[in-house]
Amino acid sequence: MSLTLEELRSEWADRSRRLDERLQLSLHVLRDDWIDRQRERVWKLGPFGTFSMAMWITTAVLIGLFLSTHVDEPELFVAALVLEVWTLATGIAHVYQKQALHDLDFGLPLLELQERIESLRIARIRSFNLAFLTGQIVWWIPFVMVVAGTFGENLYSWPQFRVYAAWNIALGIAIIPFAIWLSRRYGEQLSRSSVVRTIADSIAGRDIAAAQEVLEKLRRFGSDAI
Amino acid sequence: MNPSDETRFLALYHEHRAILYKVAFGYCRNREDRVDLVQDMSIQLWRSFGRYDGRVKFSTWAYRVAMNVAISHFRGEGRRVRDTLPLDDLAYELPADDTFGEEASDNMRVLRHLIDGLDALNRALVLLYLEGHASEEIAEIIGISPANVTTRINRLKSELQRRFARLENPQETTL
Repeated sequence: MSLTLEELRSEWADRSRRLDERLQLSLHVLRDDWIDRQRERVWKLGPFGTFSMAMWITTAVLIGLFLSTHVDEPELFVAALVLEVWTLATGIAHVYQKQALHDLDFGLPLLELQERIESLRIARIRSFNLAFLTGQIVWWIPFVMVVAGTFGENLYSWPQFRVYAAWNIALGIAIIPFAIWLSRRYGEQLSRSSVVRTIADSIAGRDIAAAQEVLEKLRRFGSDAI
Repeated sequence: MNPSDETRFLALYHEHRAILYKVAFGYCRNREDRVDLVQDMSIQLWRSFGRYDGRVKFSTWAYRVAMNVAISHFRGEGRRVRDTLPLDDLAYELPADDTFGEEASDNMRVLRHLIDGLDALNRALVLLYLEGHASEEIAEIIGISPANVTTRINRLKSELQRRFARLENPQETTL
């Protein structure tokens, strides 16, 4: 005996009919319960969580305030400006990606929407990589700003700190290729579920390669030349 | 959405919501996951309804939305999509209705097994074929040409038959 897809199709149709009949009975539940509660909530939902948005705006404003009060101290001003640009750029990229995901039209044909989702995934990974790797260069700036803001002390005026800062920048820059090498060399040995593995896969480019492979598969699926 | 659109949505949704259960059956083995998936599909339908312009049949559009949500879950993008949906304190009658995949006969179990071995887009093809859709409609939902649909369905039929034969005679595969 051999079962064909046609035979399964007829059993599926019976099941389908029974399900349709069963579902006809519960319209009142939908009307009374579901729609009303969703009405407001759907449109209130923003692309960026309230807490994240508040944190981002607060950080950008605080750095802005710092900039306005340290215009005459070029080292502090430039360092804070770099951090402000980094904060704004990463925040804007995050909002843009969330908004793009939020605006996706799920009523598009499957291939078209899945290609868009995959392209967004690639953009998101690239933007994370950029933020993570450039973050290695700017991470120490908040420390300088806190010392300047709290104690009124410009660490750049200390010769030892200038050397320390120069080393930090050099180290931050050196860490970028090193982190990429380390992730490519040892990332796959980490547990699949670990956060470190997630970051390693991202900066090693494995996630992008996987997403590009999916994009390629989608394009092949859409091609008539099969 | 204004009240008249809501009433229209409700009527259309009620008429076609079986689609969600059938699609969920194709993409989730676990009952709890299916409930989550159908909830996500329902909310995405509700949220996307403002963009539905009637150029395709409502059922075609509903299949697109449901399958796009299911594939996103399947591909691991579900959490991100879900982050953009208002799921808090959503109560729904789905568990009581979700019997599509529960009354499993031997044939349905075989089908389940065969579907599990397919990738997301081929699952969509098989589900639409099982539902009795014509190639043109399947093409409209997936976004490929009808000729491509026919070719792929024929391939899947042969492939599924081969897999079924292997299920029936597992020793043959080891020879």
